[in-house]
Amino acid sequence: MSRARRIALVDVNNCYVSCERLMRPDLERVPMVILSNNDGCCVARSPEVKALGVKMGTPWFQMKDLATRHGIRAMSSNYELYGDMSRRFHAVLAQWVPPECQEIYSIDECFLDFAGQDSLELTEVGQAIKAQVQQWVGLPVCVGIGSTKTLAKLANHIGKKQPQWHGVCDLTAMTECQRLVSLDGIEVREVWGVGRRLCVQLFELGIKTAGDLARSDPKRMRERFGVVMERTVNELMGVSCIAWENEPPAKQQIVASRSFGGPLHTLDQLVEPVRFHMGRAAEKLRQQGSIAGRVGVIVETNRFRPQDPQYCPSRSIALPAASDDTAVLTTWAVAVLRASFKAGYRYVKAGVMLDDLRPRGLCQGSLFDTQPAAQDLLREKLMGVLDKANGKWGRGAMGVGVIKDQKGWAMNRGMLSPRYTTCWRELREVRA
Amino acid sequence: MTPPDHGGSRPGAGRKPGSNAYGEPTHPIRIPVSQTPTVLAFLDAYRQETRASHPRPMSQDAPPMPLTAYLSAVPAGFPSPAADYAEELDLNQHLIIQGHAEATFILRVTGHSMVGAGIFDGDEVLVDRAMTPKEGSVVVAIVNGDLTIKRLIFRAGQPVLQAENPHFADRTFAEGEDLSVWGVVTRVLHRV
Repeated sequence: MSRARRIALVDVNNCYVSCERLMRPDLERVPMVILSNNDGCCVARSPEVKALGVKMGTPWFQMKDLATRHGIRAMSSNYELYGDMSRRFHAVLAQWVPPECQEIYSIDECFLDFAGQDSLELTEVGQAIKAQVQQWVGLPVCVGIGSTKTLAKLANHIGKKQPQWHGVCDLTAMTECQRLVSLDGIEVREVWGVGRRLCVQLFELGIKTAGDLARSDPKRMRERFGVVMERTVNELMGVSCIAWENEPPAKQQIVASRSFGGPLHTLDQLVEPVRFHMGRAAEKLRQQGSIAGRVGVIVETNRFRPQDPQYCPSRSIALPAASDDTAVLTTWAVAVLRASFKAGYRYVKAGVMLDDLRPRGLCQGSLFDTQPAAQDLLREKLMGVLDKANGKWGRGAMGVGVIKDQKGWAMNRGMLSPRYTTCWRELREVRA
Repeated sequence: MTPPDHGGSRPGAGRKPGSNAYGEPTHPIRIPVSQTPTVLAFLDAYRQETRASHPRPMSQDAPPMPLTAYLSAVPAGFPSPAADYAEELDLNQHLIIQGHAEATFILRVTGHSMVGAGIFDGDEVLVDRAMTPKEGSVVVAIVNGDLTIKRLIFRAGQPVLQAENPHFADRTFAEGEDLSVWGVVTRVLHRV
């Protein structure tokens, strides 16, 4: 008899904080947070800070008093460092399963499928993985093992929160009954795919724990909440419904947005970041071989300043013909921006969205096409040059329109650590 | 009165200028006691014939350094007999222990305590975290929250971090005090 599927989820504890601490052992027990773009909100908290009750996403300025009282250190997001450490983390995990059995789920999470390795005792394997990642790349991880992805995620949560598991929890090593008891100890909001709003509705039905949800009737849950919830219930019962993805699927929407270093007021000022973001979004679009049929633009005022008048329009427009041409997409984005812009507000963020994406081959000509096909080939070449130039000289090196001065809206990363592992000039120093 | 026949300067007497260990004029200076080892170590390093200059970083966007080992021009219409033998040297493959790429980090050395091991101020070292430190390994260790590079030895069963320079004291560890090794140094990149 073949065994039930066994899937492990390996997840780095406080990933960004752990990356910083690898390079700065002196920060090992110092309470610290990592801030989002522009040093806005906490995106990672050390265990000491979590213990103080600071929630994910808390704006830094709201916790400055607390920080002074407890000596909390804040650092800007060092994407170069985290990206490199993430690459190393996933590369170490790749040693444990064949390539098609590894799914890189996010910067700090990875699914491993142990199909065909039935003789392995996975609690031991989990401990070995944990020890190896700690030694090789200096990152603490937890490992959860379940017969579906949703159960693996839940097992990971259990391993992380309940110290008796020492960071590795294997739900497949339990009997059905033990597993349900474990699930009863977990709040339903910890289940993968159950958001805050769903959580409230489930509470009304008396479903409070992951165990309650696992015991519910998937058909009835489907009638009430839709197919996604039915899938979640099935997954909790050990029926695999979420597909394995070796390669990230082509995105259905591409968003490029960023908040500015300081507020912007005029249309002329806002055009620059919109062009810049469209440059990045269009590059991503071409990378995945898609074309976009709809272009959207958002601009936002600062919602953390209730004393300011607020205006956060988000508008989009369907294109006459889908495109992946930076110049075409930028023209439409600027047009949308013009239509939604109103003077008299302090804008702190802008972004662009590409929707209605489809594979490049499926481009349907339009009755009102203005360009003959031959010219399209030239444009395609031009876009190739653009992507190469930006790959070589850095994002935004070449683009549409003039970018006079990035200073006004470029990111603030005031508390940034060096690029220890990716830049020769910024290598970590070691005393001799 | 006869002139004195002794005392005073005599031509050709005394040490010849530039005959000291440095081959150039010297003069006495006052240095803080706490900095003596560093200054002595610097002078030791300075005396060495192959001494550390300030290495410039390798180009940041250098590709993985393929060096062509065999290259020949192709005569028109006639294939080179060497074409089938064209191979390249890969520095990454040479410097990094096979299979340990993701566990290998590059750190920059500051200070003079390891000159005896051929590790100079400003050198880059390759540090392999996948290797288990052994007696005699040069390691990067965590001491007082900072990273330090020393040779790991054992004295009476206790670990000792030994400097490779007589002017620096060894770091010993008291009972119950933990030594934490960050990684094992496998290579030093020294600019000549």
